[in-house]
Amino acid sequence: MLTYIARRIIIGAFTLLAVTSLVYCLIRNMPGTPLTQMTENPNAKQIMSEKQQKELMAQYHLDKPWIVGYGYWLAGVAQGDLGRGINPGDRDRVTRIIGRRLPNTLKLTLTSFFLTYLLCIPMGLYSTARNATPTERTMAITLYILYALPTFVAALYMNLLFGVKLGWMPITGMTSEDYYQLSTLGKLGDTLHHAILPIICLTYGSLAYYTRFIKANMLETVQQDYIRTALAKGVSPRKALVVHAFRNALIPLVTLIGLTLPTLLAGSVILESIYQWDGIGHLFIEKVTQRDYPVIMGLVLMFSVMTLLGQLVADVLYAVVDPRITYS
Amino acid sequence: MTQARGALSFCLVFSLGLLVLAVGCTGGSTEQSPELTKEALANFNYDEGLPDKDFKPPATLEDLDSSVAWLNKPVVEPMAHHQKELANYKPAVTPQEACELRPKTIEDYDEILAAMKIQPSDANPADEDATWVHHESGDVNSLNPLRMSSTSDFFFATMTSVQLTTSNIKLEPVGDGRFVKSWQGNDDNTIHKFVIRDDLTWSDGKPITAYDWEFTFKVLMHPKLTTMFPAIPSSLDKIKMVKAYDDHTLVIFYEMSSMVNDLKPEFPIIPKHLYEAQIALDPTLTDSDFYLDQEQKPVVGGPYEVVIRERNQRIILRRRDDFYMHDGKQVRPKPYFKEVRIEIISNPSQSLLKMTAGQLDDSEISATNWDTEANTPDFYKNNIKVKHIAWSEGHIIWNTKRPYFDDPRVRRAMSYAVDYDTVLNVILKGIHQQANGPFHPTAWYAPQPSLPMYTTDLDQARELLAEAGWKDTDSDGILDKEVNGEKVPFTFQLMHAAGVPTLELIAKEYANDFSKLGIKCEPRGFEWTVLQEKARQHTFDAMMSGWGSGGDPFSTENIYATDEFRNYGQYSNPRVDELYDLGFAELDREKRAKHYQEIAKILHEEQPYTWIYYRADLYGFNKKMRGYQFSPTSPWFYEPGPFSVWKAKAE
Amino acid sequence: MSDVQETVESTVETKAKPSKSLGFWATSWRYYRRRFFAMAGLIYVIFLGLVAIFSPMIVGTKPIICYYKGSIYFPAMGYYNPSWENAIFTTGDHFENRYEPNLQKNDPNSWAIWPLILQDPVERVGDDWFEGRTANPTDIAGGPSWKNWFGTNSVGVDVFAQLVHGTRIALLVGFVSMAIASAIGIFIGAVSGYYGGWMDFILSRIIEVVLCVPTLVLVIALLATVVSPSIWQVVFVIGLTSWTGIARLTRAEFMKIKQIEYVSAARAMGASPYRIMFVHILRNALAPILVPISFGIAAAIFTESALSFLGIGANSETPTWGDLLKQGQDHILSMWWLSFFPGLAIFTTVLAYNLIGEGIQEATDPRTRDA
Repeated sequence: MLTYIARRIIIGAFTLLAVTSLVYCLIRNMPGTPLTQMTENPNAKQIMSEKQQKELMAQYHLDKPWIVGYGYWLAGVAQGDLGRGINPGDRDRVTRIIGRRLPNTLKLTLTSFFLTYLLCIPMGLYSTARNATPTERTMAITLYILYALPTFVAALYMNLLFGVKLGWMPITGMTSEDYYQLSTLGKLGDTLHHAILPIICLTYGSLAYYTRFIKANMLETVQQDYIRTALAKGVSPRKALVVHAFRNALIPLVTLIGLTLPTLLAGSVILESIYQWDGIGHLFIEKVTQRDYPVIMGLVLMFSVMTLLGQLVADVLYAVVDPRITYS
Repeated sequence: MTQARGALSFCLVFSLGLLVLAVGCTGGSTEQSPELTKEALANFNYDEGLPDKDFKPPATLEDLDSSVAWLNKPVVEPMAHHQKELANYKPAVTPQEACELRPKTIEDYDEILAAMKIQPSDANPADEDATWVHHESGDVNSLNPLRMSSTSDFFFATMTSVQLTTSNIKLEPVGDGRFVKSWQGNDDNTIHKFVIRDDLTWSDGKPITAYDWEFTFKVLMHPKLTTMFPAIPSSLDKIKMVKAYDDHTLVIFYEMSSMVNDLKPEFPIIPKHLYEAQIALDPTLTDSDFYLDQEQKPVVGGPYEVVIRERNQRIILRRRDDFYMHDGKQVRPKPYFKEVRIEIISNPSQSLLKMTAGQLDDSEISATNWDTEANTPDFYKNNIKVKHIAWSEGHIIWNTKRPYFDDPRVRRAMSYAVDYDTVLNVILKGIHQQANGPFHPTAWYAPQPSLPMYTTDLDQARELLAEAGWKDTDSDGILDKEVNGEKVPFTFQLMHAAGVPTLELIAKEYANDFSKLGIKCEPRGFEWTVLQEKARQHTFDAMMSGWGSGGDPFSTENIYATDEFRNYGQYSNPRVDELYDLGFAELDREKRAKHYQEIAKILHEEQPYTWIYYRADLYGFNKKMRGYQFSPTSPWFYEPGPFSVWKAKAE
Repeated sequence: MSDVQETVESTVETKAKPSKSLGFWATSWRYYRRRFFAMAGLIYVIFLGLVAIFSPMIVGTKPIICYYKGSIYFPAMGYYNPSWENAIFTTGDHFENRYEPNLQKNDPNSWAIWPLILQDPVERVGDDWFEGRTANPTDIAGGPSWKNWFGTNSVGVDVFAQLVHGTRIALLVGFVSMAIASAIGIFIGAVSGYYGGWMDFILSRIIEVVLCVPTLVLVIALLATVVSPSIWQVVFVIGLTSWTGIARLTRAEFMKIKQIEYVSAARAMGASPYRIMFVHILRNALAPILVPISFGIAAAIFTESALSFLGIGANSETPTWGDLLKQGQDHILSMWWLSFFPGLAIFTTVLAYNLIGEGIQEATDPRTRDA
């Protein structure tokens, strides 16, 4: 097994090489350079001089073909250095630029993630037990309706209702203006208060998918012989479902976590822009428009590593769960 | 199985490790021992970037004073001056009445503005403990004033920085009386002498001296630091030297004689006593703890200082007592607000919702929302809206190197083809005013009497096109012409920024208008950065865009003069180039105006652009706000600008 | 599973001969038909398809058929493609979309058959467009009314007309992008699953690479590099990036099915690998693959509207539903109809596709069939 994982990691490294070189080639060949937005200044008197531009181009290897620039980037990565942002708005190290935003995104995605599981497991179990009853159908349809409701529409209407009309929720932002004077508990409450609407928007859509996933797996499990045996031995149907069957159905669910790993880090571009949430999605679109190559590459690297890792975790978990599958 | 478990935990540890790598990477903070600092300072030559190495300024102030006959230039303490001017001011309608108006015409807006500009009086004092919640649509690039380059930066800089000169509401350069005692120039305006006030302190308590300006200039010019400051250095172009003769006397030497020199001293400064060693230690200006700290709470010299900065969220500024008090005496008018909170909300719909809910004191409103969202009872409950025609304009740029638009007659025909009424009154709802050229008619450098507007005149347009050789020879409904032995149909792409509904509508209208002449115009939206790049590479046929305007017309040189950086349409006319040079060198304002008026006339005749409208500044203000006034650029970027705004004490 | 080869068409015969057992697809269809919501979804999508096909006949300002200066014309075809509008009306006689007054003015003998509702998806219908009709209201005055069922936008363009004509784009976005995605996904998944070995290894890496490349970068890059960017580039990119799920599923199905005896039998009979893959195996693997495709169509509509909403979308002749929603966002307080109706359109369409997807899944899966 360890040799398998080691092999996968080595292969993964090559996949990463392919992904990063492809993306680097793409963004370098997109019209516009990091200087395009930098040289655009609302003040007509102030423009970057040609000399400055040349120097910047040289500093970031923009004057050389993309493959050379990629080589420099790769050499940096090999030494654990992802470089620095080019746009003057943030010339910090890429790791720090990303590191500043990542907790904000995780606040939303992780909460939503746990909330989803917390809601979907009981709903999945319920719909297995009461499969094809009217209540189960109603629940399923309700979840589908939520699934089909575009997040950005829901976000707008919720903001209008809870933010403006009722005034219960903050309209945008991550904290209140007096955040720094609050106690630790107050800070937590304040963050939560601001996060509620985005979290709801992020969560409601995925309920249908997970509930269905759990139900599908459960239906397969309850037909197994061992459940029948348990029932025959006098275990109550509830216990057979929750204790015996669910334990087995839980495992594919855990593997699903592996596959959702990258989405946890990516955040949501639209929600973050509506709620002025300073997260990764916001950062990504901002940096793509700025053509800030090092930051884009840093983000792509992070996503790719997480995607590949997620798949590896999922595959390994399959093997752990299902003894029929072996890797050598 | 155990092996698999082991593998799993390995996986998890590995992924966590990567996360830590991505998140927790702390930058290497530089060790700062005194010896190291000394060594770094010795190795860093601040004079390296001086533009003219051979230039030797007079050694002492006496030498200088004896060789120059000084002429005084205006110095104004903006707030004191403003308060005095408005001391007995009685508007036709009171602010309370103005808040209930539902403005329709430009006169209504003027009436509201006239009512709202009143200053506090003894009967109606300002609330000195109030907070102003100001909206910006983007975060500042940096809290270091030398790195600023966006409009959000400008507001922040106005509130916190120190400057020698500023502009008044008419956008004329004046010495900023809050910081300088006097401003003098020599007869050909190549030397300026400033006497700095002696009651100025940085927010860390150290005095602000003339040496800070000298130091800042050297930093901005330094070859090792050029890439750190994208915008400001170019505005210091043609300054030979900035020299401090003593703590309070500063002299600026210019390369050329020009009135434009009066605009140059308006650059922000950084404290020498802090930066001198730090830059020498770390010329990247990013890594050391000092810089990180300065990005959160910079040492400033202006009226407000930063309390808290949350990136992409807000900046909270607090009034500095050290600014208006010195040695226990009040030396400057006290700024009205105790706290100014800059709220950053990039989504315009959400900022408008926030304003409607009464959570913002001022915000720019987009033209699309002007008659809809900003016209509801909900909006009027907490706010009023004001409009003021700015000097910035919107236009179509013709790429004059394309076969279609190389002939001024064709460009004039295009200007005659635009259906101004539909564009301005239907699509833009009559918010903006029609334009007749790059300079707004009320500017001192605009032609008098005003040049005529281009009107919709299809017959004239057809005639001009025929004169220029465009005819429909193959009767496919589209004009064509023989260019270099090849038949070229008049089919071009009109590019504009993608995702802006109003622009798309206007572009469709233009396409419709041009099709009446037998010209096929295909509007195309491009992502903003792509649009910029295409404009700069001149790989477009025509483009919709707009230019802002400053107080001095020289800044349009890089738009209309041959081969200049912003001359996207590659327009070229030797006479225009010559006139820009003349206008730059001329010292007399009347004569300067003549040169720029001639430029305006040539541009009007040759239409390198088709000018459509002068953009109105559209703002919403909370009903509690008083004292705002608009310059031709905006309500903020002049003096007193934001400092004249106040809130009345709650009853 | 032995009678899998039966096709849908054969069900017609089987009805006459009840003794013969129904084929897989026929059985699935029977189960599908029983599911109310799945059928409702299917009927709704068919309805939308009809709306899309006949949109110029439902709402427009160009006559469906007209007689003008001695010839018969079909100007409404211009709604499908601007160049299909007869040149005599555009560059010829400069009708500028005002057909009624111009037809009468230029040719008193002309006649025309008009669409059901006289509104235009691109332009505001003005005072002089039709006799006895006033111009569309603009801004907050443009709420839903008898003249403008779903209201008008801030410049007075009818929302209903925009939605109806936008249906064409919305459906095409879903179908075309998923057609691209399924073509790539099924091919790569099939080859990878059937051959296994190094082929599988390479193709799996390709899947991983595509999974890692962000769609946003691809969309912007492609829109920036083509000369005339349009909505189809966006659709193309959506198709190009959303096939990975289909490919993985196809691969898994192929790996399973290729071990069944009938495949060996086909191979023994000398069938070419491609015949085995795309005739014999694919037929049996198709049912589970249809599920992600149907969900994918819904997702593609979401993605397109989200891109328009972010302002990254490209020009299209008629506004997409996403474009409409963006306008709705700008006027959420004052003009509710601008966000409500387009939101409803996206919502119902996505819901319909999802219900179809679920229906297919449950009808083809023996475990859930009886539900």
